[in-house]
Amino acid sequence: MTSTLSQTNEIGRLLGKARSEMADGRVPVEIFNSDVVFALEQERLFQRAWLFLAHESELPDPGDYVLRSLAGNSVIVCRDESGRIGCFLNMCRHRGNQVCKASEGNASHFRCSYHGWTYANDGRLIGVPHIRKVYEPGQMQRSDWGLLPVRTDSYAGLVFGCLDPDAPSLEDYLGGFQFYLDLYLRPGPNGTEAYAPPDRWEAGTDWKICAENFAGDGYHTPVAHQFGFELGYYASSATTHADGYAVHFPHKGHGIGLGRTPGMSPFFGYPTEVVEAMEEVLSEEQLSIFREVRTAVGTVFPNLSLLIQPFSTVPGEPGVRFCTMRLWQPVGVGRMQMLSWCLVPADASQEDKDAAYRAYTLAFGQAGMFEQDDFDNWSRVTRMASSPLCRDLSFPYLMGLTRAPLDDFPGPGVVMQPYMTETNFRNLWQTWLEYLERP
Amino acid sequence: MTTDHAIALADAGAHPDQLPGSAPSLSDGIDAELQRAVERFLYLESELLDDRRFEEWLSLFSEDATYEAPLRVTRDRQASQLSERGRLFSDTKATLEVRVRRLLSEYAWAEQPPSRTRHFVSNLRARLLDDGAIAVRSNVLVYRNRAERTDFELYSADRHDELVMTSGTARFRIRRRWFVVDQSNMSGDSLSIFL
Ligand code: FES
Ligand SMILES: [Fe+2]
Repeated sequence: MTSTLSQTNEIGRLLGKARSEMADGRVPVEIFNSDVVFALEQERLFQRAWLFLAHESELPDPGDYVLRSLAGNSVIVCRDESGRIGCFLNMCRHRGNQVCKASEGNASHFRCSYHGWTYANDGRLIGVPHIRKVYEPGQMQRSDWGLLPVRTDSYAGLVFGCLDPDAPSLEDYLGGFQFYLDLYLRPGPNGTEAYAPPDRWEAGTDWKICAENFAGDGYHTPVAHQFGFELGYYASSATTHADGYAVHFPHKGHGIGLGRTPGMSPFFGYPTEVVEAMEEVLSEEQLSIFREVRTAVGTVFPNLSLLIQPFSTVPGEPGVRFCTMRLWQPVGVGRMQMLSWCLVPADASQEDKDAAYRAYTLAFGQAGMFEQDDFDNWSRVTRMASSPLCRDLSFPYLMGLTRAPLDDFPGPGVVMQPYMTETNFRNLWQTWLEYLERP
Repeated sequence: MTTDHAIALADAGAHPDQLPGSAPSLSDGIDAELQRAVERFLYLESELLDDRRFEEWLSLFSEDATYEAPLRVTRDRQASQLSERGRLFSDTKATLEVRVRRLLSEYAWAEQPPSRTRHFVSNLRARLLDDGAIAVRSNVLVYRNRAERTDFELYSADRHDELVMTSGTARFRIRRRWFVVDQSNMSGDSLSIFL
């Protein structure tokens, strides 16, 4: 980002204000729709953090690829002939054309449609037309001009990429959050699979509103999704919905809300074969927590979120569990592209996978009913956040501010009660600010 | 469920060239009167949606109806452009009823204030199926505008319906709706309307 003096001053003002407000449990409204914040996030956050790329099950065979966006860069994520998953900038090294134009497929090689340079699916440049006629001997070394590789690593089927060579390993980055991610990602010996390609759409929403909501906003559910409570499609009640825990990882940004419904039977809404598979792979500590979770909603900092909840099409019944994973990608000031998957336990029966997917499409995805409720709210928040009057305003993040964390919880992280609290969000904003303050 | 071969291909996410009714042909086994009746039925159905008479709209579906919209994916020319398993909608009459019950409640925030929609249905191609039902392929364009905004969404779709004849005043029931929106990266904050 080229900074003029006034921009530098503006960045200083904004970060200074954010720091002092956050010290008092407040967050400035303007960060949710600001060109300065957008540019700063691109440079200081998305260039440095581990960002989600793809689920390994999207690339089952050698040559399978998906086209994804990594911090605004078009990248190819593909499985090479030896079965290894790699990630490359989708740019021909000759003059910069895109070598891959489809969002998914299978290819042994990528041939550029401009001058014909050809790359193997492990990124090597393997073909340069007329190489002997147009270059002097030894001048053109194909090994110097392979597709630009991106650093990748994976956890439990999730492939992440990182543009910062100095960033810690993915394991460090996740920093213990894996314990809770396992509820979504390790529901059996064979983990999960993406049921279908992601739903994709663009919305007039700032990505951070979504990332925060999915870091455990149990507070919005009884109101924003009131239809589910009132019409009986959602196994919770407004009076007990605060019940449960919120867990965060300081300076990592990750957070998860674990909502409980008093009196529910263990693992309700899960197929029996999935419960058995979970009991095979998860630890006693994990099982003791997950057994009583109705809703698990968490964000892997900065912009990947996961949710497990039941949904019933018959009022009053416990319903079917589904898991959605979503990537909130900023594409402009106050705009984002949404990628939303449904993950199903690989060890579930086909029938149960199908049922979980149907529940997912009813509740989430662009036409899902919970999704509709959320995005309408979020886009209105985004529109208001650019209002000139907002410049001096902040939002309160006071829930749980002076409350002590639990000290006898079987899982890692800082654990708060109840489920409805804002400690996860304060940690999210604190971590966000730490990235943005680092020049 | 139908045993019609062409529809079965469409189910499998076949190449668009193999979708039912895409081979140029005049309305097969359908006379002008029947064609007009089908048209009128689909216009009436659109009117119910645009007028937000969702319960009446739902009554146009048979009890065993399915309402399904595969996801479009951007793939190379040789491959199918439809996801085999991904669905924007994967509904039955029972789940459509859940959606309608919500829309009729006071809690469907995304539709408060309501979307203004206008459904345009054209390029009707009808043909008789072996079991006497009518397969109708049509082009659909839906305009949607919200609140005080000047921008709007336009959704273009390739729609395949199967209609069964009934004795009621509407003359038909929809036993299958299968449509594909002509976008793989959708516009609009959410899709809180029916196509
Ligand atoms: S830009 Fe790709 S070969 Fe020239
Ligand atoms: Fe929500």
